[in-house]
Amino acid sequence: MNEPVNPEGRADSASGRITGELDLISASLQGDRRAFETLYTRHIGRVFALCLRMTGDKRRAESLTQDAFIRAWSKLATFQGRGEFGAWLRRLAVNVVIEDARRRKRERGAEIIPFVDQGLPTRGSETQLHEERIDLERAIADLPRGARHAFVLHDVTGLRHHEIGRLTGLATGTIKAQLHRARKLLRENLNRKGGSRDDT
Amino acid sequence: MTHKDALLLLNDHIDGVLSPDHEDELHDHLATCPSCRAELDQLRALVTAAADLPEDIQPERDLWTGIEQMLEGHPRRMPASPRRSKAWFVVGGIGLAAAIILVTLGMSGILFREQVEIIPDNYANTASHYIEMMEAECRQGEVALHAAIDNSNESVTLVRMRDDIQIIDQALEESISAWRANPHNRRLARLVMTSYRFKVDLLNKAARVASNT
Repeated sequence: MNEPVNPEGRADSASGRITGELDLISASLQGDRRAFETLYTRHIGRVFALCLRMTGDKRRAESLTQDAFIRAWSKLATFQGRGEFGAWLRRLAVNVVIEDARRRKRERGAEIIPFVDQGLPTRGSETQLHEERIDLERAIADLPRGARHAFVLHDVTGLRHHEIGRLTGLATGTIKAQLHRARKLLRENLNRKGGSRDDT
Repeated sequence: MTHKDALLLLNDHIDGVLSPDHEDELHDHLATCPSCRAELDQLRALVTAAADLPEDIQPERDLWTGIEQMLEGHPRRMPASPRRSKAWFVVGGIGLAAAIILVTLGMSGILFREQVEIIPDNYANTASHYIEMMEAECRQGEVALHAAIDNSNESVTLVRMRDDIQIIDQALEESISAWRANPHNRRLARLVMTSYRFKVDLLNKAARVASNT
């Protein structure tokens, strides 16, 4: 699905086509949109997955994914090349999602997400996705916002408490409390679903 | 260790952030408590399942076309900034709008004017020195703000101020990049310094707001 990454950032000598990540970034900085599109193609899946899980809403995730890539284009010069580009991009996407959540909270008050039709996997596609995974994805989408962000960033994405604290501007203790709350709510939700499935 | 204490520590144990002393105590408790062991197994199963979720989900529709259109119309520009409330101007005071207008007008006036104010090398070096100092002052302000935020509840006002600092950062980026390309342009140097001053003022105000919440 994704093109292989050339970590050394060399151009493909046979075709003359730029394939290395650093070269793609460098070309994008010069305004080469095709190079940026290649970066997009390589990273869209992970960025969209992150936005989808953090928002629990397919349409909003699509819009925020677009915002994240537009911001990446704009801030590309700030990527120092020290770490992995994908990680930098996902951090940027997390910021976009968190800023959006704050803005929505300010404008509309508490966030209300209708649980149905969030664009998450539904039953009937079990041939591709395991039933428990579908239940877990939907249960994550059903979490309150703060708990959902903490769980997705820590348990799904693998960030540490202090890293999440830096991204969200919250204290580590708050992140841990949200994470523990998320796990508790998820287990309750999944146990209920498991129970109802056993009954049928 | 009581059963209740043990339950509280299971999450930290799973995350690997429990102190060695607590680890030992928890280990002893788990050896004798089947209920806590069952709780730990459930927790571990959940965390494993979450880590096993696919990292990659492809959107159902094409998103690139919309992105490319944005890049086409606004090369190297950010999407629209969030709507400001009146309250921000009262609190922020220094005027984000002023910063943006300053940068936008300043850049168009300075960059595209035929006769620019050229400064000699020694002045350029002095400007560069002042800009470095202001950069350092900004970093100190950021550290102070983060420290204040760690010890406070994030208020709506603070959230807005942080958003605004990010927007000033974008304005700064533009002005610095223009100044680096024209280091002898006196107006650009002033523009960078003024933008930094905006940022330092806002950082200080945000730190004060955070300290009071």
